[in-house]
This record gives sequence, C-alpha cells and structure tokens, in this order.
Amino acid sequence: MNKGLYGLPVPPNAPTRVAPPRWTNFKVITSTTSAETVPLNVYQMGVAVWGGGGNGTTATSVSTPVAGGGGGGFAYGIIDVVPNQTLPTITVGGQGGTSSFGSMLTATGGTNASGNTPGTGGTGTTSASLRGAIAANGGAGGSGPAGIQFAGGGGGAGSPYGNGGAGGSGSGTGRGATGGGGLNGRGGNYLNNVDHAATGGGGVFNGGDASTTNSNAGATGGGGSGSAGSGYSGSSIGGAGGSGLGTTNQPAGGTNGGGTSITSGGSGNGGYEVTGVRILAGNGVGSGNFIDVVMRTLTGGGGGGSASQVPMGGNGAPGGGGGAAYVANVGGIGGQGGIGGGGGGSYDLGGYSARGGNGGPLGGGGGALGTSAIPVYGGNGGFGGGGGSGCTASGGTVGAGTGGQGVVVLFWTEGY
Amino acid sequence: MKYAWIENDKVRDVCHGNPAECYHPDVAVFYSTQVPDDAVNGDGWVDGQLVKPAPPAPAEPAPRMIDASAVRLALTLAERVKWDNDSAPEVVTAKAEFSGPRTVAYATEVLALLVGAGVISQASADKVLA
Repeated sequence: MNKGLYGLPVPPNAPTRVAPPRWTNFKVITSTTSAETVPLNVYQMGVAVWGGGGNGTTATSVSTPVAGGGGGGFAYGIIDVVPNQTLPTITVGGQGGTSSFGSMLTATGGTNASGNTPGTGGTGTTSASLRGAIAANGGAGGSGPAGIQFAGGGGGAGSPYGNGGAGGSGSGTGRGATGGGGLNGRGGNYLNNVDHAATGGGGVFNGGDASTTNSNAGATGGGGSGSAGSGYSGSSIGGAGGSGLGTTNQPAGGTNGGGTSITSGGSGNGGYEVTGVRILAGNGVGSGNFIDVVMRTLTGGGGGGSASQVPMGGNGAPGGGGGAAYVANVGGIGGQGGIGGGGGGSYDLGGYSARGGNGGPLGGGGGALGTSAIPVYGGNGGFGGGGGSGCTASGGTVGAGTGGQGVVVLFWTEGY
Repeated sequence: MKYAWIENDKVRDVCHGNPAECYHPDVAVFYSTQVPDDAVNGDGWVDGQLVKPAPPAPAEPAPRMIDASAVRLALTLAERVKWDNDSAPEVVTAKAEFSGPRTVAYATEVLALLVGAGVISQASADKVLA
C-alpha cells in the first residue's frame, strides 16, 4: 500500500487530489505544541507560518533618526493528512523568533533595528514536496535621513500577497514619523522638506506619501486593499485612506467607510479642523480574517489621516492600514491597522504625547515623534509585524514599539 | 544546553528542541551553537560566552502637566472671579491655551501673559507652577 507523508495510508482519491475552492475553517496557534490533531473528515490542510517581528529603537534628540524593526518571514503549503492524525511539532517563535511546522515549513523572524539601521525582514522556506507552496520575506523597517529627527515604522510580515511592506522611510529634510508596513504595501514615505508630517500605514497597498509637492504639515491616509492612501491637504484636512475592493464611490467628509451606503470595502476619510469645527478621521470599513489573507480576498479600506486638532488617525479595516496623526498641542495616536495593515505614524507638535498606531495582525507598528519632552511610544507590531520607533526632541519618556510574536495558522475544509 | 542562531555577536533565536526536527534543513543549519539554558533572544555572545544585556535604565518620570482646573485652584478668590467671568483677550486666550494638559514650560509662558495683564499675581503664578 502507498504510504502517506507520515507512514499512514494515503487519503482517498489522492492521485487526483485538488485543494478545496476555499478554506472554511482555521485555527490560530500562538504557542509551541506537539498535540495538534487533524479534524474528522479532513484529508488535507493548509498551513501558514509566520516568524516574529523585530523591535524598533528610540532616541531623545532633535537630530537623531530612528528605525523600525523588520517583519517576519512567511511560509505556506498544503499537507496531506488523515483524520485524527497528530500533526508534527508546531514551533511558534516569540518576538523576532523562528516559527515552523515540523521541518516542512519554516519562517524566520525579522531582526531588531539598531539606531537608524532598520531591522531586516525574515524569510520563508518550504519543502519541495508540498502542494501550493508559497514563501515570502518580511518587510524591512523604515528609517530616516541622517542628522534629522525622524521615526520610522516597522515592517510588515510576508504573505501570499508577496513580501511584506516596508515601514515608511524619509528622504527629504523635514522631521516626520512614518507608518508601519502592511501585507504588501509599505508605510507612506516622507519625501518633503518641511517639518511636521506623519504618514499612514500600509495595507495591501501603500500608505499615503507626504509628497514633494506638499509644502506644509499634515497626516496622510492608510493604504487599503484596493488602492494606496491619499496625501493630505494641509494640516487641517487629513488624507483619506485607500479604498477597499468594495468601494463604489468617493468618500465624503469624515465618515467611516466613505459614505452611508458603503458597508464593505470603504475607506476612511481624513479628519477636518477649521475654526473650532473638528471632525474625527474615519475608519476603514470591510471584513476579513486569516482565510482571506491566504486566499487573498481581503476587502477593507484604510483609515483616514487626522487634522491638526483631531487627535487620532482612523483605524484600518482588514487589509487596510491605519491613518496617520499629525497634531498640534493635543496628544496624537496613529490609527491601528486591520489584519494585514500597518499602524499609522504619529507626530505631535508641542503637545501632550505621541503614540504610533499598533499594527494589526501581520502589520508593522507606526513610528512616533514628539517635538518636546513628552511621552512618546512607537506602535507595536501585530503577529509577525515589526515594531515602530519612537523619538523625542529633548528627553522625556520614550519607548520603542515591540515586534509581534510569530504565529501558525491551520486551515481546512471538511470533506476535502 | 540548547541550540541557538548566533548573528553579529548576539543570540538571534534560541531553539527549544532539536533544530533538525523543528525547522526546515535550510534554516536548521543556522542553529549550530550550543548555549546555556538561560539564553534568550537578544543576549550577547562574545568569545563563546553568554553576555546578558545591562538592565534598562529606570524610566524618566512623566513630565508634569498643567491644565485649566489646576490653574483655577491655585488662584485667589478675586482672581477666580476674573478667570471665570472676565472677557479680556488675555483671559480668553489663556483659557483656550489651557484647554488641555500643558507642559510646565508651556504653562509658564501663558501665566506670564496673565501676570503682565494684571489678571493674576506673580505669587499665584508661582503657586500654579510649584
């Protein structure tokens, strides 16, 4: 008799085996185990493995840039199994650690940043015998120009969408804070030469860039699953998040999902602040989970960027990154990424505190920058996401975002 | 003893089992160094010896913040009447500036404005900042 991968009889119809059109169940494994068994009436399973993310760094100087940690690597494959079989040891790496499914799938962790040297992304390795094998690298952390206060975002984890998005980086001469990387979209880059701007986290697409044509401060939107985030229109109007795949119209001011009729895949609009009228940045709208990550069917939009007196960037929906927060004289928090989305960067001008948005699962944390001695914290990475960096201009409490731990996810569809 | 992946004189990752069984062969080869059981990711590894990182410096205390309620409580009764009811530009602006928590340096500048305008005394300003 033909023996399967574990010395057991091969499942029925093995020679003509096809993967199910869609996985219908999943289980998230967050600690090392040798006790996982195959559910009844299941003959093949998808296995996704992510390594942990690297930590960001900190500084307390007006002329020191700091970088984000790298995202974890990714490995995926379909294994043949029989019901009730005990699976090989599943190793789940901690922060920056390696995760593995037996010796068949291994994903290394992203490395920690050091000063302004960003962490590098982890890698994925698969056995040649696995069906549907995919491997991808994590994204690198973001970094800033030499001699300029700057906070880079953490890198996103690798995935079936491709290599993880890098944390946003700076290349101009202005001070800024950038968003974390998402599944394949990087955090928004900071390209202009004026101080005081923050960029959104990446999702499937990039976070909005602070472009060379901007000559003022502001906050950009997070990337969505259908398009990149937008830039800002000055400090009083934040950039809109990137669209989701369900978006059918343009977002209207400050609403979640861009409009009352959009229930899936809408982007968050930017915040708004003019002469005392303050509208919060909108959240992205959409749905999705780990099944949608491996099937590449995430639909959510990105969060909108804040305005100068609006303290928070909008949160991203699944597949979307968080919007950035640029604020003056109030505390600022970057928006959180949805699953696969990076957190938004946060820049606080002379106010109370700055906190980078946390990455969603697989997303990197946003960078955070304060222009005075205020508490500043880089955003943490989600599972496999790199941590964002944090810097203050002159002392004060400052904390780096920590990289997320690794994770292993099992998928199956009964009857296959 | 455990096996670890050493990179740039640091423990990049520790394997808690047999690397050959835990990881794909292409990755398992990196876990080639035996380290003490108390080794954790991020420890130093210099000349074959484990070097634990120095404990982090104690966090600096959070900066003191001052808001409108703290200012009002430090004023004399007569000054509170002005603070609550006066429509002078200095008072209106100061109240707007203290609409949220402010650092001591920031508050000092605003209080100096009020002292200069005769709204509050220097003694009250000092009391706010004490």
